[in-house]
Amino acid sequence: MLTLANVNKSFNRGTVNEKRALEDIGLHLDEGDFVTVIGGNGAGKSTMLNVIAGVYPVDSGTILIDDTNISLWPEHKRAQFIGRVFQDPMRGTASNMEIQENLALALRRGHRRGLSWGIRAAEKELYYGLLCKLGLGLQERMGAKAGLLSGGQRQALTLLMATLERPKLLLLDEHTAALDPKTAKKVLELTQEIVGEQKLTTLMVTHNMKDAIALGNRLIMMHEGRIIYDVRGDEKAQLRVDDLMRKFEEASGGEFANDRMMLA
Amino acid sequence: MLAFTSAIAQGVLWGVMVLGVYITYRVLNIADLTVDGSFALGGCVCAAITMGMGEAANSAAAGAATLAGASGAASGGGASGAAAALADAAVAAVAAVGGAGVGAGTAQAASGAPGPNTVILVAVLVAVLAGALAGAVTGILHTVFEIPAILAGILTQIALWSVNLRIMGGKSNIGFTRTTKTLFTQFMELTGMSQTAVALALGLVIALLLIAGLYYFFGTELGSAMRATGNNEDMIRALGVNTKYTKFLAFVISNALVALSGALVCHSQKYGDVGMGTGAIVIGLAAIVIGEVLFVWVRSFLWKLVSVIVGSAVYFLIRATVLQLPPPIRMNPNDMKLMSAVIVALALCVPVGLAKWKQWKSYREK
Ligand SMILES: Nc1ncnc2c1ncn2[C@@H]1O[C@H](COP(=O)(O)OP(=O)(O)OP(=O)(O)O)[C@@H](O)[C@H]1O
Ligand SMILES: [Mg+2]
Repeated sequence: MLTLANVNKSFNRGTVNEKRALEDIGLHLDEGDFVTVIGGNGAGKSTMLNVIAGVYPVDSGTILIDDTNISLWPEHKRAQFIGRVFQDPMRGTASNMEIQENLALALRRGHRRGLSWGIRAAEKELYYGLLCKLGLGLQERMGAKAGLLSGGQRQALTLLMATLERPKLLLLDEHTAALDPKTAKKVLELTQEIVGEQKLTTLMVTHNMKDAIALGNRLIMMHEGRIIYDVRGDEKAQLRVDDLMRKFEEASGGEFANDRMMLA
Repeated sequence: MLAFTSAIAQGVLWGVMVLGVYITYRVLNIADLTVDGSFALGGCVCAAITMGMGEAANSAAAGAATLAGASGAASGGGASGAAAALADAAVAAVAAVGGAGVGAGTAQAASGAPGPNTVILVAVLVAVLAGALAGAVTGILHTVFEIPAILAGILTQIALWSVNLRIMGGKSNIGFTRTTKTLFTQFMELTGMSQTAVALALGLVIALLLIAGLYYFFGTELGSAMRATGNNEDMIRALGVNTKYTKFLAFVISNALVALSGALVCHSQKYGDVGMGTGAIVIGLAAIVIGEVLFVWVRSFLWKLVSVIVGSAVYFLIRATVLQLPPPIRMNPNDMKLMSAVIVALALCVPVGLAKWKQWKSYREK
């Protein structure tokens, strides 16, 4: 499904600020894999998701989606395969546009946009049904501007938008980090529901180790631009937070798990 | 009274320019300074073709070939510059098409020379195409070469000054003769209305058609993507839109409208001038701001477009008024640009000032 082979990415190459954010990353995801990604600050988690999405090009290595080499594709072209939810709730929706307009924009991901009307009547019924399922009452406010929504509502809407047209790959970068614990829980449940229903291949970055263990069928840990731990299946199901902490200390050569790593 | 009606008519014709500015400034969130140049470009191209082609028709030189040569002479006297050559080619091509197609029914067309309606149509169409081309240049500088939008606009604007002079054969001004047929004189003949009435009526019809067209366009898939580009570029790119393309297209459409306005104003004032666009962007921004103040409660995009035209009409009305006040308080025409700049600056300063004042007022030590 998704293959990263020998992917390298440095920032500010050739200057004193040079930073190798990804070092020789190799990763293969099977169809339907739901992978949680953990690691300390600056480990390269976001960078990995960003090079997959095409936010910036890789220095070397290849990225394949279903055997299509997308390493040199621009971001907007890769979007036909990829749905994304960002950490910042403001980034996922167009705040000056209506909720239904946002959904209509998302429904056309991967399709040519021409001069036919931007939103059809039949679509609105689809959106109504989907918004009902969110259980946030948004179905009654479809004509309201997305900017009026709370952070949690926005993330739920963004999640719906990212998966409205089924993506081959769903990228979630700490998409609940900016929410209060209760809302975060709700959005996480929704994530599980949608991913399970559509059997989406997913990469989810989180700082919450309990979530990382509880969700998905596979877990990877990153440190200084490398993948240092990769577990799946039963082994992952039996993991405990302590195990992860020990693993982290081991791999990082005795360095203690930092504050954010310990948030659990 | 007549002065005020004519001010409103002028405001509506300039309003077409303001619609163009609205697309870049309010939809894309970019102040595009190409506008000063592309407005004059529209006027200069229109004047050059109206006089060039019109004369060719008068001397009945006959044939599209001579016609192309004539307008070529009008637009630079020779192919010494790439820009002039380009303009020549465009004029010749459209003139040939226009001469063959549109005027086919008229007697003049039968004899080979274009009729006045053909000349007018070609003049306006080529002006619009030239404006689109100017927008494309800014668009490419900004999107492909990542030059900041303001600077990209300034570069095109400055370049257009020279291009416009070339288009008018090195002259800074082309005036029409008393017998030159314009869009407005043709309609005056047709309807028997006065110049002012025709300018107002025709201006309104054109403005309404454009508003309808823009409203439709911004409701389409492509137009929605363009609006989203101005609102949240990261998001719409993640949804598969090439935002370089939507921005480029916005620059093209915007400057095509601006040049159309320049062409209309040229025909209404019966001359084209290389300086006619100077300060146009500030007039455009002032008109947008006035329209928004007058229509604060308006939410729908359609009415926002209407407010643009109303804002422009009101701007020109204010301008006519302050120029006609009794002597001690009458404004010097030279101060008009100062007034426009002050209106825009105030509109930009007031919200920020208010926010700071509120913050300061609500501060409590404990
Ligand atoms: N655009 C950029 N320019 C320069 N350096 C960058 C850029 N983006 C990331 N980096 C650097 O690359 C490294 C990896 O950053 P990245 O954002 O991928 O970390 P992360 O694992 O997502 O961390 P966090 O948990 O804090 O989000 C960091 O050292 C960071 O400073
Ligand atoms: Mg990150």
